[in-house]
Amino acid sequence: MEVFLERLVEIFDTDTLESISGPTSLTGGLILGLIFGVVLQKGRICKYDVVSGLFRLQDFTIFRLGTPLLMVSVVLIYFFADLGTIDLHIPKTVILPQIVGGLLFGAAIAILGYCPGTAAGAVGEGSLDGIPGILGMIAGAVLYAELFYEDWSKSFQTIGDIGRVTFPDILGINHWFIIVLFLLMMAMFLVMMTMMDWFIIFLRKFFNYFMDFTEGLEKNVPSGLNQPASKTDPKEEERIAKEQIDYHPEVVQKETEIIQKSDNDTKKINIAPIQTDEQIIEAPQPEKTSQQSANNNTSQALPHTDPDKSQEKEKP
Amino acid sequence: MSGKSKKGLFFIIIFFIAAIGFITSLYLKSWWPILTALSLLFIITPRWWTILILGTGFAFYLHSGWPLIASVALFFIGKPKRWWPIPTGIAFALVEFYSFYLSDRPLGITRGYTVTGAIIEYLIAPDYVDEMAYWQIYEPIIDWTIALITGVVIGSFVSSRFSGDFRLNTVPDTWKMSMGPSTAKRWAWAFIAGIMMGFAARIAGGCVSGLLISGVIQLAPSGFIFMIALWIGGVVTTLLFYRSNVITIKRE
Repeated sequence: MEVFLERLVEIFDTDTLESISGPTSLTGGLILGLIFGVVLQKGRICKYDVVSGLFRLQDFTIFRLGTPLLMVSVVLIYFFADLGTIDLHIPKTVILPQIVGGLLFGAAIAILGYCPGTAAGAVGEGSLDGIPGILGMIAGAVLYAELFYEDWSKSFQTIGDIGRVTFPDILGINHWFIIVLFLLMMAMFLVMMTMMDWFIIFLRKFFNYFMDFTEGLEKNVPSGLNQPASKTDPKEEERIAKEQIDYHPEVVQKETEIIQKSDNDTKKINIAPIQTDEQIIEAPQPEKTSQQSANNNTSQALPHTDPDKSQEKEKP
Repeated sequence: MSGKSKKGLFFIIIFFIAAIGFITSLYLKSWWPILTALSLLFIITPRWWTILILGTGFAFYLHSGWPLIASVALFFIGKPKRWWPIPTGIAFALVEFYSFYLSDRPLGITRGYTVTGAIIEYLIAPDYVDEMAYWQIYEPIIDWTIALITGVVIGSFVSSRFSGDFRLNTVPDTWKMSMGPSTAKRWAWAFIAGIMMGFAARIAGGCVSGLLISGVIQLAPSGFIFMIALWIGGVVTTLLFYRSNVITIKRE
């Protein structure tokens, strides 16, 4: 046991550490890590729900976050590399191991729901299931180093090795051409991602599509599992309602405005259960009691409210 | 207990902690007791004034204005529980650039875990580690990436605590909906997936931040190959692993 302690002290000794001060060592790492942690947490990408939602094709937060990230940083990195402020550190390209590794990594992310960086962030955020993930990552790295590195370093790890190259090197043209092309592609992708949401909202609003669709899907989920835990616990429900107000302040405001407008006569204000921005349109709107309110809301009048108006006209 | 007496008790506790920290640091003539007390204060009551006090304390301790500036910045922009994805992406890009500028290397996380594995092996058998070829690349030394991981944990904790997003849980909600609420099952799967992830990262030579992002932003083919392979592997595994429970509409 004492030998262990001696070795532990040896590791934390200042001679064997990387230099403590200085930007390229521990202090710089800690500062960068603090900023990085705050950004990861605020972007909500340390959450299993968001990362898993990406692979379930239901939550595209990561795409919307990742595209501007790549667009802005590619411009920044190459601009300042041209000025000579920073150096490029190009990763090695080995085609086959990277395809196999990528497939395996994707499988692991789908199950674990965190990538190595966000697992650390998730532990900081209170999701304790990042801890076995981190321990597993350490175990996996040791496994590779002990059992496979010596056999594979000469054979498998060299298939398709093209060294530390970039696309501009391979194609032999100025990198800014490729950057412009990349930016155009990414911008199109971003617009497409945003449009997809708008398109679904549009369909819901004007044609009532997808509402039955999603309900039908919910019914297919085994009973008892599709109900969030919040439904049984009133405190939890309250907390979630509070969170929604924090996440979507504009939405809540808009919704309450609409309700107040249409309820001016009856003075009954029902605050409907708040839902995601896609589901605003579904939110139960109180029936319009007078024609005035209907006229006020012409901009928001939906096609399926037309019969109500005609009935009101016929009644007198 | 009524609200008033609760509040009174609360302030007494705060005052008690601060007083203990102050007295101990006066007695020992060093800074760390009061800093620990201030950090504890922040953890108990994450409010705007505690974060400003904490920033000021660290600014005096380190003889530098940056902690104060950081705390003021967090005070202004840290209150909402989420930032919209596009501004967050731009902030992320600035962090990535700052890493190149300040530390002269791309942000990479997995190296830290590998080095941790090397350190654990070194604690058990130091002679064996010296012979291993792989541990010559990843030396068992506490390095930049381990500091980075520590920073991520602390930063995420401070941010979530300040905005009130911090919630201790062992099983995520979506997992509960599709795989059941068992903690043991979730942790076992997390461990298996972690082994796969560490192994895959060593084969490919990096993780999402170290290979994918830093590869794509330098227009290296490796990043693009890894991105597409990761996406395909993730979607296929999701369909196979969760089967009919893939679609769980989370009412948020």
